[in-house]
Amino acid sequence: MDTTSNEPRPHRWSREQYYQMLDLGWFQDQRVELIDGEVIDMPLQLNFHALSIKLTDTALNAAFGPQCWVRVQMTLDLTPLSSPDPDLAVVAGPPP
Amino acid sequence: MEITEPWPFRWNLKDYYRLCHEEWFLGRRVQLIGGEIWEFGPSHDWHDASVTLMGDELRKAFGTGYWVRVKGSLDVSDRSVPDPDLAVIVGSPRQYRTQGNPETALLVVEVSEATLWFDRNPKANLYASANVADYWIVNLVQRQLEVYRDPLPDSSQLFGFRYNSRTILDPPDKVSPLAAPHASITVADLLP
Repeated sequence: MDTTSNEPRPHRWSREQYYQMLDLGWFQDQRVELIDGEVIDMPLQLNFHALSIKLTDTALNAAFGPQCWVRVQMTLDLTPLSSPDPDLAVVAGPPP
Repeated sequence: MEITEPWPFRWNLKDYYRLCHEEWFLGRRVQLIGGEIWEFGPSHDWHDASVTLMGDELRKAFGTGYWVRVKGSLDVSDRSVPDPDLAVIVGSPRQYRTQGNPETALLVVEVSEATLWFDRNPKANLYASANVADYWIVNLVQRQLEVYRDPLPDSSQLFGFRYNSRTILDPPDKVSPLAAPHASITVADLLP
């Protein structure tokens, strides 16, 4: 009998459930991201981290120009089980 | 300067009951263990047979004045709400609490097949931390009863506790619950 497939495993949340939870008021005042079905608590950011984001933002905007959108700390709907908030992401097309 | 790493979100007891109330886990068997929500697969018929046999033996052994709870939750800590297969507590079902679940038990039993590793490790540490003096695992794989006793603090272990003694019993052997020392249960009678 195969018993291994029946082992306890950490519960995984879908991206859809994650957004529903945010709507219901879960994780208020907390920095969390959904990574592979797990809600991950992100550490507080220090000033030099914020400064580095600002410098990178400026540099990427200069490099990519107006036809791209440099998104800062915004959510990416990557997969059905993951929606991370990368510090910076460059997406094709100007901001809407 | 302290740099902290990203870490899985830890749920507390209040969160967990709120999640259950909001019906996030409908059709799923989940337990809160150390701030993490764990999902358990469906149980097999012989697992449930063993739970029933154990329930019958424990009711005989303890008699009136005790409640043999089956799959009931224990509010072990702010981070853990396990649902042991069986737990014996003082009192009767008619004296149930209107708020919350028991925080410990005289005897906890897990019937193990797929959950053997989990029951021997995190669950054992957890029940030891809840001062459960008598913890039994019905090992359906080897057809043995594992009896864990003497919970003691051990900071190197998960939940800061472990059991100091472990006794393995075979089908012909007999066992007496610590809290019902005059009763004698034959291990074979617990195996389906």
